[in-house]
Amino acid sequence: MQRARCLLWSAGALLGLVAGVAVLALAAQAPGPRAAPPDATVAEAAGRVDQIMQEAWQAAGLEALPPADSMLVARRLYLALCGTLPSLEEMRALEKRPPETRASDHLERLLGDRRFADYFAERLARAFVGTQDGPFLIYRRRRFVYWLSDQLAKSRPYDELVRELLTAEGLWTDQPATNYITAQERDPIRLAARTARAFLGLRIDCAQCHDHPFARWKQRDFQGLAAYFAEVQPTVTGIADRGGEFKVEDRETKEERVVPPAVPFDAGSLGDAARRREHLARWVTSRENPYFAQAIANRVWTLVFGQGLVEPVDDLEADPRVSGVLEVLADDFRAHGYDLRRLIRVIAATRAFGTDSAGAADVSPEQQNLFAAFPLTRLRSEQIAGSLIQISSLRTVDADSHVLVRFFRVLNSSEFVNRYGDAGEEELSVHTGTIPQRLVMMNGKTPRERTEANLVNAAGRIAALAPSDEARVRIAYLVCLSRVPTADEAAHFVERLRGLRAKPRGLAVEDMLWALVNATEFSWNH
Amino acid sequence: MESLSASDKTQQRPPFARVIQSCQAARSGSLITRRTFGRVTSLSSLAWLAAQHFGLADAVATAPRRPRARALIVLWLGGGPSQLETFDPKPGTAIAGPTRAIPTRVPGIELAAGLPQLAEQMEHVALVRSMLTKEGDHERGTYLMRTGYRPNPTVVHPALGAICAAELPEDRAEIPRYISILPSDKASRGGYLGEEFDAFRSGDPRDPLPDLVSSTADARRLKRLEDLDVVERAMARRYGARGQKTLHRETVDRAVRMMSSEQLDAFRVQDEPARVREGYGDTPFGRGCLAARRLIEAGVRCIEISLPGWDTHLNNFKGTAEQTKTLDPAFAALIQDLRAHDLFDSTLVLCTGEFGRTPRINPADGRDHWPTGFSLALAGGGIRGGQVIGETSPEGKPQPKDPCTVDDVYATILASMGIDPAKMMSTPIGRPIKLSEGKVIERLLA
Repeated sequence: MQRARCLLWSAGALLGLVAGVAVLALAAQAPGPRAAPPDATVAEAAGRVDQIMQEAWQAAGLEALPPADSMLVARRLYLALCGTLPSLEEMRALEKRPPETRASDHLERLLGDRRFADYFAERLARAFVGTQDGPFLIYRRRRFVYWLSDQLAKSRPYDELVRELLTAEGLWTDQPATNYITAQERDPIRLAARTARAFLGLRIDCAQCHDHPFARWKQRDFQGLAAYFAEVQPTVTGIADRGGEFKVEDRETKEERVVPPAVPFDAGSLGDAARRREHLARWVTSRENPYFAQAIANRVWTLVFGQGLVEPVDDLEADPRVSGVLEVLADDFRAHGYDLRRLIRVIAATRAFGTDSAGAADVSPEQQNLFAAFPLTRLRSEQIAGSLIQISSLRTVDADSHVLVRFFRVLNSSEFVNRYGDAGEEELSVHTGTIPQRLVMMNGKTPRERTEANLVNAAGRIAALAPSDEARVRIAYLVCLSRVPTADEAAHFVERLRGLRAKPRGLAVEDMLWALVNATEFSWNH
Repeated sequence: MESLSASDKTQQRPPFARVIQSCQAARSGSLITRRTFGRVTSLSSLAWLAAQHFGLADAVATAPRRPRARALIVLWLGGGPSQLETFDPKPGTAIAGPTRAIPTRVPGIELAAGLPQLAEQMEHVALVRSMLTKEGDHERGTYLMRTGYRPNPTVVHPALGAICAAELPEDRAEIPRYISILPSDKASRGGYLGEEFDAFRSGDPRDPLPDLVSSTADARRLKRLEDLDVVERAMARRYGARGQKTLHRETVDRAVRMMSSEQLDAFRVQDEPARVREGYGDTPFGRGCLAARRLIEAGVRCIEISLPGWDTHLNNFKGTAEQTKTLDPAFAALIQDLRAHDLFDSTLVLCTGEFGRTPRINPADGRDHWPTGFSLALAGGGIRGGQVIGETSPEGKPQPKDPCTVDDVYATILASMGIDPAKMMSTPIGRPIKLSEGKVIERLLA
């Protein structure tokens, strides 16, 4: 019956079918991990972090959990760096690697993947320009994200990238970095606030209105920072520094007075600069400005773990969960040319990243708090959507097929994200899920389409091509939850599939996928 | 509900201060325990279903008057409606263009000619013609007019509707208590109150509700839920108490209950008599207004219905004439219908957009953004109708007489609902913040 129908299908579909068989039969050529000689200095830096963590655990009387299963670690990596799950194909390739290099092989492969650049660009864009679509015509968020993605793809050093954001001149169209300025409507106050928070993890803007008696930052600090943006003017050739002063009304005399640019603290000699913004950019990215490297280290750590070393993510003056880690990461980042990939490598090589999320006994809040157990955190809507896109295929939906890449580029207008809800810039704070999210997952269009059993979808292939019901259940679990089923789970679903053929079997596989994508495990990082 | 004295309420609800304290103590991992409002809202069972037994304790004691309104309807005129073609016509002046004015039931108050049915209801409507804000950008203006606060990078404020849902107890609701019909923006958010107070978004009530209808037959759906239990049991074995803190399965159960709730029938405007439906106008917006009345009867606390299309940079006069054809019957019928169902005194209706439009007519026969001297309308729920507050200049100058700020208007709305605008809340980072910074405008209240 199945075979008879096959004949009617197009040649292309048949090819797809053959590919599906190949994957299911484990015969697909493993997409070779990019061979990179293991960098001993990465392990060394991660070791320093481990040492600090170990001391913190000891001081708190905690034991760290043992290392997690390699498939679970792969899932964490994929979700953190590409916003999606590993495909069956990728997991099969992983299984062929020696256990000790599995994680790093995967990491290298992902860091070279366009999905990483696109996904991380979207994440960073939220910090730099927010999620709104901005003033009509002048500011185009999407253009900005493309540009950022290109910079990440070509490994642009982070300090250079930030200097360009802070100093760019020209039209938003051919100089996309100028969107940093236009997104804040060239408003010196908003720009100063954004700059301090996004690049330095400092909430100097709290001093915007007046001095707080106990706060470290005074109103003059904030105003001095804002004055750096006062020269920015719109011209026919775009954003340019054409002079201008930042003026404030004196509270006592009610007269306007000019505030000269001034940085709130010293960070080494900055030299002369023709434009104020150049001066500011040097100060922000100065090697002697301790906040610059720590702010991005904390942001990347938070993206990778779902839980920050310091929270809120843009407030480095809050108490860290574990003291000293950010300093180590920041020193290493500075010492290695502000290379974001290097930073990710070090973080991913820490013991904390590879630690299990559950053990023999219940994990205490304190263990999770101090990263002695991998934190259980809710996935963001685009990670859910990215995962749904991936699970509908057994092969890797990657840069070549453009589906995910396109998805991340149009994220803000995506129907799924619209319905599921987008936490916006608040994305790194933690909440439980909402009822509309559950409704979308149970009844919505995207999940339905992605778990449907048809010729090209994973569900259809699992139903038609897997050698046994046991294999069907196992593959479904690997695809959706990146793990094998427990004995109870396997028994339950094998029973559901027993004796079914053709269409009823397809429906039963759909039902199984429905249960898997609606499970807690699918929506949480762990 | 209103007869509960402040002390009754205090006994029912744990003091807010205690919640804050416990959360400051718990910097304990990134589950819900970590965050103030994660905790508040998780305990209050994701907002919609169980009783809302939080929050009011300290506030009610200082509420200035006996509350009348218990629900809020927001008619959202997205894009920024021209005050000159709606609530503040200036016939015979240089800024009027071709727009005429008509008399209303209330002597001395005129409306633009596009609102004849509303003119008949004028005795129930209060106009504020002197709204003054500093936000002339759509997104920022929308945020301001939805929350009462200007955008601030350190905190997301809750929309007025989210405050109503969070602060007004409702034991019966199986469906969300804050609903946005035909939303044209993403500003209807719970903000620091938590995502669970985000508005539930729905479309034209004539269409099936989004994501509420299962694509599978009941028997198959029940089987799927059994399957889900199997997967969840494996999770529970592995993660123990920590897994339960995700509240994932509870949320699934509530979503399932919502799918079968009879309260959803409130969206079925087709069940209304033809006469009633026709009164509201045969438009998605009109049907949304009708659904709003039905939803209030079902216990929903705030419904927003959006009517976008007011951004008339081009052809302002033609554009607003089209828009008022939709707005006029819906707004007027809503007032009449609420009155007929004895809901008018307990329901406050707010009709506004993010700003007004320039008195100056631009070369494209349009009007541009104008946050300095625009209008909004209020009706029902303790509002004294048949009055106008403020006056704009007939020459189109920016400073209106007797200017009103958004936070004053919103403080008034909250007060009319028995919610103390000065109630101190705590954001997720522990920053204290008032529900509204405004002062109650006593003249607006009956």
